[in-house]
Amino acid sequence: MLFEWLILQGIIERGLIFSVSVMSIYLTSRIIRFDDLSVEGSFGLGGALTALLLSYNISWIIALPIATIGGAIAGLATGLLHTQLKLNNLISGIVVTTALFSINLKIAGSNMMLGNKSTLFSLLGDANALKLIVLLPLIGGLLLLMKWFLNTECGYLLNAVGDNPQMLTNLGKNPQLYTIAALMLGNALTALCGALFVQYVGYFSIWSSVGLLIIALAGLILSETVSQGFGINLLIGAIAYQAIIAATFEFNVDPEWNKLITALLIIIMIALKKHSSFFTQRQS
Amino acid sequence: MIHFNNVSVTIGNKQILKNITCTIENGDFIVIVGPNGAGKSTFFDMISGKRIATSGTILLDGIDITHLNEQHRAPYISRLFQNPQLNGVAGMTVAQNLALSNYKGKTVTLHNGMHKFPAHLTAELDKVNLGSDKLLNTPMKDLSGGQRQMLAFIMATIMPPRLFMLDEPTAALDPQSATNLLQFAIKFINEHKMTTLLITHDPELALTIGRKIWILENGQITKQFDTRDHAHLSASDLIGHIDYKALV
Repeated sequence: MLFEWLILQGIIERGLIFSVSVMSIYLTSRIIRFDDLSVEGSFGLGGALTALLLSYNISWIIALPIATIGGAIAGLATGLLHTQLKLNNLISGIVVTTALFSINLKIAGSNMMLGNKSTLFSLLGDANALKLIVLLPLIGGLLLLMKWFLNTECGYLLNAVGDNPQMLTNLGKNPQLYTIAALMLGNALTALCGALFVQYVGYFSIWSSVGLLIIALAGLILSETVSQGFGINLLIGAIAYQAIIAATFEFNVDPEWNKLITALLIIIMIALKKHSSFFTQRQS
Repeated sequence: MIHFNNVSVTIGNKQILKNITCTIENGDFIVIVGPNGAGKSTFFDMISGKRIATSGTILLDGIDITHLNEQHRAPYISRLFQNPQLNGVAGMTVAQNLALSNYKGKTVTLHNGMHKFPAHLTAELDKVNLGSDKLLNTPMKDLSGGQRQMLAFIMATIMPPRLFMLDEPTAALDPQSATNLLQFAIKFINEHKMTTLLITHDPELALTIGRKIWILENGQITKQFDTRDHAHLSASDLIGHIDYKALV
């Protein structure tokens, strides 16, 4: 019973952490409609900066915002490559992620253990205590903050830039500026996700960020079975994805297959979605 | 007043607009007609700033705006596109689109997105059957073509521009929707004495609504007619009309 609860607890905790990158992917892929591959590098950057700062006994209270700002700068780089050098979405993201791989290695090496450094989760004292107590208000608050922001005038313009950039020009606003701002915000969120993940597992690994985009995308697609909007569905999607991965452990599937399972999951979900929309259209 | 002095636009190796010199007076309602490929849309692009003139100068009330881009001309010049998708945000509701269009020339804040909703337009919206709560909460993409262009017209004129440009606004509409839109638009333009340019392929429409008619051919304004000339003009003097007899 206790074992099962611990598994469930782990699923929810990981799901909550990765829901931050699902929020990021929602912002870039669904709102500004920019498939941003730089989030892979930003996740690693957030983790690497956090590991490095904590290793110097700098408080996590300082490390978290620095990691987040690091992600925003990566988003700025992607945005500038796209808007100023006219690189397409995918190439801009790949260039930044590739550059960040080296930068992250230089910051924290291929692995860095946090050991007994004080982290966000040290607040609980006992390492086995429910990390949910910290994660729930933090992630819930972040979700509410983002939801509020997307409903502000700035948020409306972000919605508009993805749908019809000409509309911003009609209003005398610069669509490129809003694209860059959204990419900075998206990458800041992913870097925050990386910073939380490193503190949660207790170490940084350069390989943790590989496949992050696809993990977030899987969470997003699962979330869209509940609702297409920005809300608690994003948390549900991220947790559902973790539950699927955990189920493969239960069936003793070699973890090396994880990425393949994730890719197949995305293919199946997209196929189902296409099939169901086809069915709905035919019905109507 | 907008004055164009020897303005040309070259795209690639091709000169689309050739040494155009003309003046749009305040309060003018000019209909521009011309065959396909004459450069009508490029003429609008050049005025709105989407395309910067390759040579020549453009003066808006004496101020040189030749090198201002589209974003910086937007507070003065408003444009209704032929393609309704360019006139609004399809995924946002009618009310959200109206609020958004009222951001023009204003600082964007962290207030609720609906903060600048133009409540003073309720009566206008009711007149064109867009004022009901149900329609206000409908995504723009779910409106009919006629409703979308009507909404786009209202959005484009929320902040009265110094120059309003309509690029074949009824091209995609059925005759009834086109009539409704034009009736509303002409009344609004006349009431507000709005300086207006309208592109059309319909010579009857040009003769009916245009106080001035300009013919654009091969990148040049070849003829300019004013109200006094209307009595002597026929459709064939402009660009002709569909020869239905040739079809049978």
